[in-house]
Amino acid sequence: MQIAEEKKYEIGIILSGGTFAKKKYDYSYYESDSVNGKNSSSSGFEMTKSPSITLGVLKRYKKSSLIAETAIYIPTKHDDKTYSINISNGDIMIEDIKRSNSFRFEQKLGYEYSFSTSSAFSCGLGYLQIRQKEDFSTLSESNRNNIDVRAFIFSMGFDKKISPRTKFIVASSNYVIFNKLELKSDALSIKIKSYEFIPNIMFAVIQKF
Amino acid sequence: MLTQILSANGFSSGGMMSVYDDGPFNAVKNPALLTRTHSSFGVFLYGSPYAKGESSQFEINGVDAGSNKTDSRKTFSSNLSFVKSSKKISFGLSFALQDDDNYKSRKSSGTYSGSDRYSNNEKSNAVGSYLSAGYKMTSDYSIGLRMYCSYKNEKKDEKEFQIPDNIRKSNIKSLNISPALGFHANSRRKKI
Repeated sequence: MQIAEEKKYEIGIILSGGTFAKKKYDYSYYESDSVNGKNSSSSGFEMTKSPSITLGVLKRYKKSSLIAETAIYIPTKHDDKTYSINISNGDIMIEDIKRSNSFRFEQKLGYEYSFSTSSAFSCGLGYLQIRQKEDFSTLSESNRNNIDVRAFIFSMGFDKKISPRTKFIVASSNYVIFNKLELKSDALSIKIKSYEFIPNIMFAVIQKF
Repeated sequence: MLTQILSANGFSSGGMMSVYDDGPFNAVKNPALLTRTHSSFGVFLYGSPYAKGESSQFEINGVDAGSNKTDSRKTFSSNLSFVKSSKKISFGLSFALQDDDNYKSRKSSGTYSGSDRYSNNEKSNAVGSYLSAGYKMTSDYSIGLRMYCSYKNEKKDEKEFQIPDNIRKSNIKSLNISPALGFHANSRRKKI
């Protein structure tokens, strides 16, 4: 009787501390009747992407693998800048905005099938949703933007080992993005809906030492 | 903005970051995965020379007020990754971007209120790098640390065809950093 250990599944966790950005802003305005203006500003390090927890599970079968991954972002607020122009004299006013990342969620599913020890096919599906609020707090009137983005990702690829130490990959990753933007002020309400399809192609080479 | 917030790396099984061995490209993923990686290097190039098909509908106070379309869109990105592994500790170095492209350009145009026309021209260039390390605690458990740093230069020209015509230009340069901690585990069962 022989006892062998078989891998049941793999678990991966990533704790991201968020992304911090330091920015320098330069704005300029030109009119055909020669009214123009310039202004600049800079910021300290601000958190522009929320801290997140990513949890992934991979289950291996004889010839294939199934993977699921979820990422949840912790809501945060940060300061940013925008500008407005006085079109009568070209003066540029740089204004503070408060952005709040109120909700962000990512879900991905992946599958890989090995035809042989040297070639494999893989594909994936993803869903991403982001809600963000922008508050133009320095303006005298109440002015808020609400952004709602939903994206669907479809990817597929083919791996081929051309020698025991060298692998070649061709893959395609395609996005369909639905974007909804609502700008609300005391007197005005603007709604923008859009969609976009973005195809990508990738070539990769991996070489072991 | 939209592609920046997506995971733009072209890993073919859906862009998994926490599990799934991608060889040297593990240097940009869960740093604990590095302990499963042979010493190796990898390079990938990806891009999109075409992405038409956006359409927007403006609605001001409930009334249709304009439209927008993408006239051209091009993106290009690359990843050059190295992993050096020993028995317990592995190191990764990658020249790549997180949720972004090395080069991106987008031209769009449209109308406001059915009469005023406008066109936008956006371009950005960025470079970034990851430095990561993984430690194998046992044959089944590993942990890792990762630090990401990038620099980006974004330019946007907005032209309104009115009387008089006007151009608004913005240029935003940013330095970004992002730390992360990773954990990876194998679960096994005994088979007779």
